[in-house]
Amino acid sequence: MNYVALRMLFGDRAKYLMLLCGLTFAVMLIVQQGSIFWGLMMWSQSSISNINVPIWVTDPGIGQVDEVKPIADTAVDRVRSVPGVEWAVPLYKGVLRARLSNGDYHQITLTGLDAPTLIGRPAEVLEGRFEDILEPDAVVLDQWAVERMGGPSVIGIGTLFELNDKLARVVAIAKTQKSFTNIPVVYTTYERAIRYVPRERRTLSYVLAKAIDGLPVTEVTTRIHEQTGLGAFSAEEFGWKTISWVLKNTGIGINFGTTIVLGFIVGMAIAGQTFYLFTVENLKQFGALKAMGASTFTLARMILLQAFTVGLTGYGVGIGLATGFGFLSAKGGGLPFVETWQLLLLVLVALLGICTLSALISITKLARLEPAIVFR
Amino acid sequence: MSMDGSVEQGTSAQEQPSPSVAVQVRGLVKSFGAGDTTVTVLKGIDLDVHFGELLLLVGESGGGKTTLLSAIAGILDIDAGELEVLGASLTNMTAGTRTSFRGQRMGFVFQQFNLLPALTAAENVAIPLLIQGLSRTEAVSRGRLMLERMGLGDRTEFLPRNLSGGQQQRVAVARALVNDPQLLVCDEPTAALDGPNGQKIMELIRDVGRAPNRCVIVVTHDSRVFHFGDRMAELTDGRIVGIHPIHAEATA
Repeated sequence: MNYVALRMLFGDRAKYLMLLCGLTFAVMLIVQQGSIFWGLMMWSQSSISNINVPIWVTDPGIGQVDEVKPIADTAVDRVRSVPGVEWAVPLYKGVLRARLSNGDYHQITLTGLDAPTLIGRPAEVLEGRFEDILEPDAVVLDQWAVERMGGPSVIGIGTLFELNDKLARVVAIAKTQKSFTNIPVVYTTYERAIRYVPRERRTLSYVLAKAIDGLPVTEVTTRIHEQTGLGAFSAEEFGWKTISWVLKNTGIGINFGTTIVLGFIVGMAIAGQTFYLFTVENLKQFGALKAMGASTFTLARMILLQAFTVGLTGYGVGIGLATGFGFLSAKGGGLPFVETWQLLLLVLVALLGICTLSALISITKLARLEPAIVFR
Repeated sequence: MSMDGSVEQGTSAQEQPSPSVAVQVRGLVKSFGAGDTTVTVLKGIDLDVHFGELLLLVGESGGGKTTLLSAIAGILDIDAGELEVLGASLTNMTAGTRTSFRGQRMGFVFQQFNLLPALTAAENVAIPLLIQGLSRTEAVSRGRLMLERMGLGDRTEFLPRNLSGGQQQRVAVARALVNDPQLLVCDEPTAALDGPNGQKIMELIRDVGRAPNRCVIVVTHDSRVFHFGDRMAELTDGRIVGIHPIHAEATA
């Protein structure tokens, strides 16, 4: 009877397509919006992923990575003295204005790395050598800085510009993940960074550290916190803390959440109603099958097969369309789009829920169906 | 409505059915609705149908013909009375057993054909076999053979929408007979057809459907096909008012 069920489903092409479109639309909407949402969340903690170190030591009251609360310069040595810390280095992070030779001003994020180790440098360099950052006045830009500051014709390797009236010379272009604010990132050494910025009592933004091999990171962060009173987080914890801050302090979560929920409700309504209509319009046929000896169980199995077939087809098409959209729009980092397996699994579960619910409504109708309907 | 003036009454409720009796109905009552709106459609029906017989159920609209047919076919619960069909008491069966019983031992021909529009003629005929669990290949193959017997060998792969009304009803008859049922139940099989096609369908039901080990019950109000029956039971206002043997020459 599976064959009969599928032929019934595909035979009514108009309804099948409407059902498929409803589910495809719902899946596409949920996956697309969910992936953009997650992409934005990844962007919001891109400073952490770009620096890529195991432990971040911060001001104890910090909310998120871009909300820098400077700590005392002595913090580096205090962290180094905590048992279980293999190394600890300073990091400067602050916002400055860059003045180009053509007179344009651009806001930039200045990142100062520990000069002897260059810990926290981007993993990939697109042009030049990152090590040249040790040369006088040298800075490294990320690729988004080149794009935001006028493009390769305006700024590139060898270009000179000013940071707080002090000279900076581009020696390399590094590849990084785009940030939430999309402010260009300029890398230099820690010592040079604090020369670029106006003098403040505290200049150290973060201490980057690593636990000795074999020691759990969480154990070391707990020790750092207990012994120094500073905030200490694993990179993953700090990333989640940042995402949590963004969700609490911006409308992003509610906006995307609303769209996703609406997608689910619209998809469920379209699929549920169309599938129910499909059953109701085929009621005489189901009645005939029941009269001819098909049990309610057999009919329920047919309905479930129909629902899951159209559901899984809609899932596949919807995922395909959303992925295609993501591939095109996120190409070159234009739009945040991160499609995770967890999201796909969640959508699959939601979709199977929609299909099961729709099928159950129809099955309830069929269970109450008197086969005598065929004689009326 | 008497064809020859004689009237044959149903057997008494206490009498055991003889081996030749396929369907025995005793004191059958069926009502619809509740409270003040209750309508009693069948008011104590007694009826015997024999193997090898084609019985016509006739009578005015609303007289209870289709309700009686539905009850005999086991697709409608009754309020009171006894129903013994093909040696089994339908009244004592659970709904599930009745469904299975119908699938194995009964065939149905509906007024509106009720063919599945997405299936070919052969696949439609194969449905009762698929319900019984036969493989699709075997069921469809037997469906094709049945259609050849019905003179539709060249239409086996046609969809219902590409068949005429008469051809569709022949497919429906083939479907009803494909699992070799002992009781063939037909509800107004000629109502949706013109005169000549109605005659052909009744010929088919009489020639192919009627067999020594099978009985056929046909609900009809089409007087042009009365001569195909062996007997005719007339229902008026929920009661059988007469059961008459039919002589073909009298109505042809």
